[in-house]
Amino acid sequence: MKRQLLWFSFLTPALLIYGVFFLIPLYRSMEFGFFKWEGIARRGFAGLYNFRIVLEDGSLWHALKNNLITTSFVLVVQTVIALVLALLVYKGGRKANAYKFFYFMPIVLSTVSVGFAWSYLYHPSMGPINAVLKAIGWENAPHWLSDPDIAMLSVAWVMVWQHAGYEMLFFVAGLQAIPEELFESCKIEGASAWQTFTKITLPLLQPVTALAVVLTTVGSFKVFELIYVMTAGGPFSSTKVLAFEIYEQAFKYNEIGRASALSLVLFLLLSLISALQLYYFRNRYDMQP
Amino acid sequence: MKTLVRLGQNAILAAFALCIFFPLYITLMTSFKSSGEVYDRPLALPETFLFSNYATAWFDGKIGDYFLNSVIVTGLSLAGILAFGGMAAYSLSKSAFVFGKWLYPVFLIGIMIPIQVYMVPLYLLVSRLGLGDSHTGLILCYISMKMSFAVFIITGFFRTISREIVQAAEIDGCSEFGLLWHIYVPMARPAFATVAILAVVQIWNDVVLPLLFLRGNELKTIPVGLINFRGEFMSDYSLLFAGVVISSIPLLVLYSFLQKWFVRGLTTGAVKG
Repeated sequence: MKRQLLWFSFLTPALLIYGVFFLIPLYRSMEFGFFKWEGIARRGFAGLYNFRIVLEDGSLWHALKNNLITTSFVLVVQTVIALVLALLVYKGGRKANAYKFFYFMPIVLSTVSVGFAWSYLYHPSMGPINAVLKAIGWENAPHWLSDPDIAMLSVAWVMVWQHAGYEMLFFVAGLQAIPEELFESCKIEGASAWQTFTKITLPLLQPVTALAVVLTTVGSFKVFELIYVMTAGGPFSSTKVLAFEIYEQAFKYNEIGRASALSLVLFLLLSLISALQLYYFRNRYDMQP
Repeated sequence: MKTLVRLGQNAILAAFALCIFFPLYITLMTSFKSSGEVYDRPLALPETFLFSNYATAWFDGKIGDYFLNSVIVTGLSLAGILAFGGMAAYSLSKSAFVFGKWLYPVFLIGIMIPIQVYMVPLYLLVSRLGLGDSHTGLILCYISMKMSFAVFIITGFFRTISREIVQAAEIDGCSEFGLLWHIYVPMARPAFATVAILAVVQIWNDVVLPLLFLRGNELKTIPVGLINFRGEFMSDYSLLFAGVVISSIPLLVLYSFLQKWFVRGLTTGAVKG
């Protein structure tokens, strides 16, 4: 009995900090959206009032649209790059390991550093990218971050740049788990590389693909810092994603009610996305290699 | 045919390597340029390598202060996470622990929930507690944010420690804390390393919490400091990039030596994102 108490006392600091600085705010984030707010003072129950506002003034849809653009781009481009690179390096060897080391490196950098570096690269007149383009004759090189039509994609590319190597490692692990004999027997049977890839490799990669896809989707959906550093939601709100909208509503416009409603939506969406994707891939877990 | 395929593969690998390399190279080179050069000759090598940019950034630009702040915040948060997380994991790993069964899942909730979901109530709470513009508030938040992951990893590891060793130590009269410190912790070093790496990378690079909480410049950590920097020094990218390089060096150096741990820490920590 005394031991139980001792064990509990070991837990106490962690539980206290975790409870106060995570559990309580988490709970509050669920309920804040249902109240009316004047600045930071609560002013009574409001039901779905805040949710109706963000739906009606279009801020929610607009943000979600940007999230959709970003996440679709990142999911497709990053996963393809990651998979291709993984296929080329998973067998190991000095060169492959050097490439792996290098590809993974950007994830160690802070979003701020990455954001600043690419802001400069993307600069229409000062930036190296447009300098190269102008040198090869493309006089009116794109305004990567100030053109509302492409700004979101420009930022999305930076996300791919930073995370492709990371996702690649998941596929590497998955590929390395496939026994060599399987590939050899495919060769013996006379299967082409494409057939081997589609009929054997891909199905066997399902669990790893599932994980990579969920993480990439969730990760790109909650993006905030990169937007803050690179475009601050502009130009003309074309890069305002949900997390950024939450930030602006709460800390720029002092609209706690709306920010909280949006936070709850973000939370529900993330949970839904994760659940759906895991469910979709779940049936394929029982493939025996 | 085979050589053609081989050539194509190498081309792809090299192309993406170039893609990664180019921004890093530009950042580094630009950090040594004078502001005039930054504007006129983005692609060229610097005329002279202005190491003075780094000194300017460190002292006038206050990067040195921000660096120190980052060290303090990251270090203390790490200590808290490992110490409190380790202790909690110890209790939770004991199957005989009465509260373990339902407390463990409670600790795991945090793994999948990003800060953006609860940052507004967190901000209000921290302000009301009077911890608004302080390192203490930041550190406590970081400890709570990484707690789930720490508990998850360390408990898992602790559970694999064999009974016999523990029993032998108990028979020898080892205290509960002694057990934790002399047996569990040394044997779970990989777990602690994994947690440590993830915590260090994420806390050192974090921008959201300092952005929300820290008003005064004296307390700012490097990431927010750099944002400030850009505000003050407008388009002087050379100084800004000196700051960027300074802020990235510690983690890059660590990464070069501990690549394996970085991979492990960041991919296992993947579920948290």
